[in-house]
Amino acid sequence: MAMRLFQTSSLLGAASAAVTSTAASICCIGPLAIALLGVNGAILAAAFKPYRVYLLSGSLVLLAGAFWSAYRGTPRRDGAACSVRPRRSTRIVLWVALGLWIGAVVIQYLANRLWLKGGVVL
Amino acid sequence: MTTFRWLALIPASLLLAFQLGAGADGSFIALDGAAQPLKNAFNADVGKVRLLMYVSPTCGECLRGAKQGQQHVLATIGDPNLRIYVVWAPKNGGRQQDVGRVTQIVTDPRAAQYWDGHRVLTDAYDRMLALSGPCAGILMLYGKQARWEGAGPPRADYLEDAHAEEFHRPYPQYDPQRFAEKARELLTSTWSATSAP
Repeated sequence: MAMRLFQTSSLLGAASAAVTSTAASICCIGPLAIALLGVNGAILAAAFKPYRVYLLSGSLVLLAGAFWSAYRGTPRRDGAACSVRPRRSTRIVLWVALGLWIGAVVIQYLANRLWLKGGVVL
Repeated sequence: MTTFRWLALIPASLLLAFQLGAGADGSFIALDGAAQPLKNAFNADVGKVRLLMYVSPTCGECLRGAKQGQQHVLATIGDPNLRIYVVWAPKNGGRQQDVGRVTQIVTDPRAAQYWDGHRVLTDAYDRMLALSGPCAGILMLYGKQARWEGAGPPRADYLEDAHAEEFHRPYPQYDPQRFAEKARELLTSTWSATSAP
């Protein structure tokens, strides 16, 4: 029971980080956002734009927490139960979430660079 | 089913819902190199207040501005003396095939929608308004006297910009309520054919 709870919370942390990272980036990738989300989804994503910095910061905190809980080494104590190790799928989600977060930051950087050169905002 | 699979289902369902939630493609007129259909409509509507949305079909903020325009401006002003032109601009990677699905945003029967594939209005407005940034997102109001004489469209009597803050443009940030108020103001102003320039 405790193991399942631990895995679920780790997974939820990683998934939340992934979702917030994606929300932070998708608002500024116009053509792709519309292809992926449709018109209504793109309009909704545009509403996230002002909160991009907060979303990215929040997802970084969530990621840090999820990584800490997934990889921390619990010291063994006499009489205590063995530490519960997260499942492989949890760690995969975590690394995917980290990739999404980095992608969000890179897209943001590229969008600004391209926009300054008069190009297309991705 | 494992937690992992349940979690994977959430974004997949959301994407599906967004895609299915989109309505049918609407109709629009592809403008020629002189934007003649729009020019004709604009001049035929002299004596009416004209609202022109200059928006990109691939820009979320433009689409949001158009939707807010429909909900907070057009839906609240039933005056038949208001005419609406939605001009979809080839900006931010927008192509003609992107226009069909975004025409569903503005549903007002007084509205006509156009695709500016030849960049007649796009170049004219970009030059006239010195628009920085890749997107359009400008909502304009033309008074009852406004007439389109030259090759490019005339300067608007009032405009707001959905991207003003984002791209540091010197125009008022789009506020649907304020914009609606301005439209009502123009609608109540008096005009006679003899006073037209």
